[in-house]
Amino acid sequence: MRKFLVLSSLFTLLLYPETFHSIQIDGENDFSPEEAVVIDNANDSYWSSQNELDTLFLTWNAETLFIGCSYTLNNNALLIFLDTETGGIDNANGLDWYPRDVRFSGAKPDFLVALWNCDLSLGGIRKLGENTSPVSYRGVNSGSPGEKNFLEVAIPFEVLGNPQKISLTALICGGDYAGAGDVMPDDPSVRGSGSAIINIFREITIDGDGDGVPDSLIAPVDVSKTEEYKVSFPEFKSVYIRPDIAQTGPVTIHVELTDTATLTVALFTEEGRFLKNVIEGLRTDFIEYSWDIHDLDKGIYILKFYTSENRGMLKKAFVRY
Amino acid sequence: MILLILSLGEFHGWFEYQYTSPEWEYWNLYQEKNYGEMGFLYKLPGRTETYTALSFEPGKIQFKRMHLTFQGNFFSIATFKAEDRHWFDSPLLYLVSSERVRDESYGANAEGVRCDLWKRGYASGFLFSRYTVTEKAQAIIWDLKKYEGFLTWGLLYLKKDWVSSFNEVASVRIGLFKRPFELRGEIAKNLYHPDTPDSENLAGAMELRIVPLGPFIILGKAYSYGMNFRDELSNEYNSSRTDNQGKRGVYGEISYLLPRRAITITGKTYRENLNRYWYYLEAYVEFVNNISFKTCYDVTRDRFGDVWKHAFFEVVAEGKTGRLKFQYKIKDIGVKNVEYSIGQRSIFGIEGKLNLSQSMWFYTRVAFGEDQRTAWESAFFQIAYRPPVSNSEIYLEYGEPSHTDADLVNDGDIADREGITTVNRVRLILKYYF
Amino acid sequence: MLLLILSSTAYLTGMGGAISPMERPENIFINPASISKRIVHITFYRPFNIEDFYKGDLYSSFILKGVNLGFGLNATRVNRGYTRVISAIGIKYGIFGVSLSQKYESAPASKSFILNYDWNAGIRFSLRGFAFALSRERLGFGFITSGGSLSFETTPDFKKFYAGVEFIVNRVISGSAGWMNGRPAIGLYLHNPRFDIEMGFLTNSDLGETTIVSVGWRL
Repeated sequence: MRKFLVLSSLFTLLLYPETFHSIQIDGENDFSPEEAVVIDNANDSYWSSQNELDTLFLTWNAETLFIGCSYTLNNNALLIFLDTETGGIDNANGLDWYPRDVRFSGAKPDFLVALWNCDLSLGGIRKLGENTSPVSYRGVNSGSPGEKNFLEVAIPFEVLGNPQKISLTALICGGDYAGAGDVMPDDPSVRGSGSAIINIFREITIDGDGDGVPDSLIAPVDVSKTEEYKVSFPEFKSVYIRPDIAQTGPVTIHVELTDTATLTVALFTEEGRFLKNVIEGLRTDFIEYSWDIHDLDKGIYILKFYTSENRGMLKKAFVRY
Repeated sequence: MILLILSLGEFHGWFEYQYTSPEWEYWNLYQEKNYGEMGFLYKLPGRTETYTALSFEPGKIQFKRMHLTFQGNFFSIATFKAEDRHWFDSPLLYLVSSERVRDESYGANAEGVRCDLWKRGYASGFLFSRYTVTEKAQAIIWDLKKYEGFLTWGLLYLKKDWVSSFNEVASVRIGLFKRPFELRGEIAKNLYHPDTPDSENLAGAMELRIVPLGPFIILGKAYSYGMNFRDELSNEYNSSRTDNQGKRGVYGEISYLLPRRAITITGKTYRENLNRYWYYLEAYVEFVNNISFKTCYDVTRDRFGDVWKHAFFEVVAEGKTGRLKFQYKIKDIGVKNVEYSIGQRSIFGIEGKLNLSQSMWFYTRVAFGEDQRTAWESAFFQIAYRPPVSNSEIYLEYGEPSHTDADLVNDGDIADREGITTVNRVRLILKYYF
Repeated sequence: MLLLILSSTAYLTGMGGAISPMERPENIFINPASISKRIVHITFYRPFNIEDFYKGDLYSSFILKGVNLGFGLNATRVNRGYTRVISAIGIKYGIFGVSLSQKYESAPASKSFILNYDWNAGIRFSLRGFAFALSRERLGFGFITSGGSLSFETTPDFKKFYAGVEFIVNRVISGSAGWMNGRPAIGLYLHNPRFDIEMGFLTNSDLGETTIVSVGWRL
């Protein structure tokens, strides 16, 4: 009886490989079909069959996340963005490493796995932010430009901040500040040229029961789903500063938007030199902010109102006399 | 004896040194490039010429380029390496793009043989080219044509062989000329390509030019490219040009030179299947004092159904003391809140050259862009000195020239990339020619 | 005969201009030693195209008995309620110049207006096409030819600086490109024997672009 149980559980493990699964980082694809979390359509790249995404694999063990990607690439870059925690970037144009003309809506990536022209030594994995910082990982890419490649990386969960869920997207892009030619999961704003806003991500639940430990005995495909976020373009409905010429205050900053947005109000000198953020990263669609101007020197100032979601900004002048 | 032989030939070449000091290396100066070429040209009797060039880099001397040519009254044969001898006529379909045949990577790299024959208005050319750098492949191109007279015609055959497969294309073209009319037609067939079946593999085009018709210059063209027409030696029909596959359309162009004024008005348009169209209107004015002004407006509807409008203004002035070009462009007029475009933007640019003395000048290109959200810029400054006595050039540069080198504000780098900034790098380039 | 470039869009043409192209210290916006002769200049712009925020300059100079006299006015009006006017008069003799300026401010609630005074002094000389200028808080030098000029201006600690080049291609048109406090600026000028029209463009990556329009008359 015991032999049967052992044999059948072994058999189960072989037929339905589930987490925890420790992948050998050696360039050979030992992921299982149940770990193919995103499969891209063949021949849907805007840049010919030499630059085509194929499949993204993902699995984990108790401490490490394993990602594999099969693709074809020639003289371009492969980028895999991971959103693991709150915060992150929404515009890859501003990166100091692998900047690309891609923006994000719905998920804000915190990590980037990137390589150029099938050479992982020209890329790597970094944490994203105002400045990127390299993280420790193990990785190998096998294959050469123009033919089928396989990239696999192992990242400790500790480095990723022990996420409960990971949202990801993979892209093939050109050089610095260039756009994307192929994406998985598919996103209609990628058209082979020009900028793109990615709002469709593949979301994998690592820790479904919230016990602080990655889930085991599950097939990653079963806990993956494609999430499509609304791309909103919140507009400023009404913005004013009252009074806009003040000696001591109180001064009210009133902002109304058509949609909830992440609002920042920045203060500049009259020549355009940045001083500080009066309101920073506030998620709202309406605010009447009481601004304390006691520590402000007398002079003319400029307030800039902008959100991370929309493309517009508003500028107002203010005087403290 | 060797000296005698050497003295019958011509030695020439150049050396180039580049020193770079970038901000990201804390402005530390380092030698970025140390390169020289030395070529020996030897003209033998019987109109034979040989040329060999060696290239010099630290630790590496290479046999860089060569040619051996024989020239007769009606033929020429050349065997060569790393030279561009890959041109072939294809006036309507552009079936041969020389950069796709010559193994282009910082210059031509292919090795090859080329023969040309001509006699009394007829000519034939044959090229064999082998790629050595960008891929393992070879190409063969052959053409035969009659190029003079009222009736002209041509035949073209090309084949590219690479590791896994090959691609063969053949074409015929014809032309009729009677001033001011020029009528041309060209048709080509993709004989074989591994990715395409044997159907819808024809491409054809026909064109009528009337130069001039009074104050007008007129051009009309009709074209149709089959879904499965592939030509790996062309920029238009290789596998990554998915936008040209299955395209059919008409193109027209009219230029009107206003009588007695140096003003030219040009209109261009095309209409293609999938409801794609493009309209372009331009006015170009020349003033005294070597000043010219140009403005144009164009509207495009692409294969996704989106409409894009652009407007452009330019002033150019030239004089003894220098040159000045100022441009202003509004791109994607009216585009707002669209996922795949950064939206309406204005791009300004200036290019200037100031002659400081007979042998020294200052050159700059500065361009910046602005849209709803932010502004970005790229600048390039250069002081150039050509000492009058020696054949040398010295350049001191700041910034990145490639951001604005494709006609300033029309360069996609500055016009379409919101995050672009001036590259903080100083470079010193020294070149010496002999 | 040296060409002294004088324009309020000296944002773009740099040293040689009586009005400094750099971020101006209040009350000291003229280098009196750079006053040239017989010109009236008016400039108008809206910084970063912000509504209800206007700036303008008026500048005029002429010669009286071998002495250059200059007068300048810099006005700012914000949000239809706040006005600031800085005026300066300057005298230049030889290579030396001195100016006196005064600031006037008015805000809606405050009925009084503030007056304060400040002074500036400067020296400017040139040698074989190279020109040098020094004034309170500014140091500049340039190279001037008939086809244009190169110029640099900086604060004595070199923390802020301006570099620019002007291209004078012919009598009708000229242009300039410059680098001011980390941002580029460009300008285009049209000339007529009596008039000048100038358009300058500055950018700031956070706040956008400013277009400056300037008109000048030669007296």
